[in-house]
Amino acid sequence: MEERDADAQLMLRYVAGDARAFEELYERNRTGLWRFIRRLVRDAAATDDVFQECWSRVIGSRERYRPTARFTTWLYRIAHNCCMDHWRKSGRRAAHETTDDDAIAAAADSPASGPFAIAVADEARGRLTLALARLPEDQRVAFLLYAEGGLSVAEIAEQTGTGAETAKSRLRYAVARLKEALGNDAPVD
Amino acid sequence: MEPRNEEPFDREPWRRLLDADSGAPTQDMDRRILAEARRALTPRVARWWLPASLAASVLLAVLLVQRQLADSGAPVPVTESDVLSAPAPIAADDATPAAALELPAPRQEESAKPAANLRPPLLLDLSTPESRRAPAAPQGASSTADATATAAPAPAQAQAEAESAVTPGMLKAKESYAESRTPEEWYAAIEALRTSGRIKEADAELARFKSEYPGWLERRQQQHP
Repeated sequence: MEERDADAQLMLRYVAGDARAFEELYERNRTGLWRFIRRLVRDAAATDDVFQECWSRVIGSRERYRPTARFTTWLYRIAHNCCMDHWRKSGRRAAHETTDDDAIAAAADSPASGPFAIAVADEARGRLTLALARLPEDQRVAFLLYAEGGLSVAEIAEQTGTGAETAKSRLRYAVARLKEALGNDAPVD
Repeated sequence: MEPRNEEPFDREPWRRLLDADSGAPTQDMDRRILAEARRALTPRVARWWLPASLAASVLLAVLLVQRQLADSGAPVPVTESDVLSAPAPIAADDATPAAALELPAPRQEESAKPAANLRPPLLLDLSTPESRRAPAAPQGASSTADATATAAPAPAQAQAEAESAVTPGMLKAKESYAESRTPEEWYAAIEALRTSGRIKEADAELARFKSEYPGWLERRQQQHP
């Protein structure tokens, strides 16, 4: 919690005109956010575009930022909105409502989760990437917002425009599928 | 922050597994975003400063004009009530020089003009005939000011326009304002009126100006074609 509060403090310092605070804030969140977007968008070029757009919105809306919630909650909500805008523009949202073979193939071809990487470097990680790609879009969004973005069930429900029970159900289904894919490498509750 | 007692599963092991994944934005991307963040801080002052300075300039100009209008009442030697209550002898002595009227000394370019061309101490467009016959005359001064005032002919149409452009309440201020200005200042004010879109008022003022400074505009145009 302290780290999240630290993010909010950095954002407030940036709002007050401290550019160094933004550098630190960016450094703390850049990798996680980039991976979050990549797992949702699943396209290298689009990931960069959405990532940059996300930070542009953070910068552009800094005057409206209020630390009423954790900074990462705000950040990942913006990122999810950017992803949805990307899907709307590219018209790919409908294609991702269910399992997307193209996305699975793209995930398997990526340097981090290619067959070689899966076999040699980090098999569990590669299987997680593939399993995530196989998840239906809504479940993947819910899982990533929860596990990576740190949003609560209620926040996920609000962000995705569903009820809390639906969001919780999506999370449970997602975890069940991921556990099934990972086998013994799955985290134990 | 929000209660976490409804968490469907522990997110931390999953976060660690996700964090083990490689992949990160490129350094070029990092540079672009950090540069954008720095840029966003810098021009904020300029964005605020530009409209503010523009508004301040406009406000200053308006205030200056208003103040000039307000201050112009101070040096007026005679009020409208003085004018209305004054006896109305007309054209007592046309031969009296303008200097005897305690008028401000004519400017250099006006010195060559006959006395009839000098601006009279009271404007000619007062609303009543009595007031036209009873122009301002400083106490102790000769009533030949009347002659000076009536000696400056004003075209009837221009005068009518001038009268319609101002209300009686504004008349006094306009009179004293006109008196306190040099021809150059008056003409500049007329141009400012025209520039600001107040064409009718500008035309009325110009008519009055021409009646009080006949030939001045033509001479100026010859000097500054």
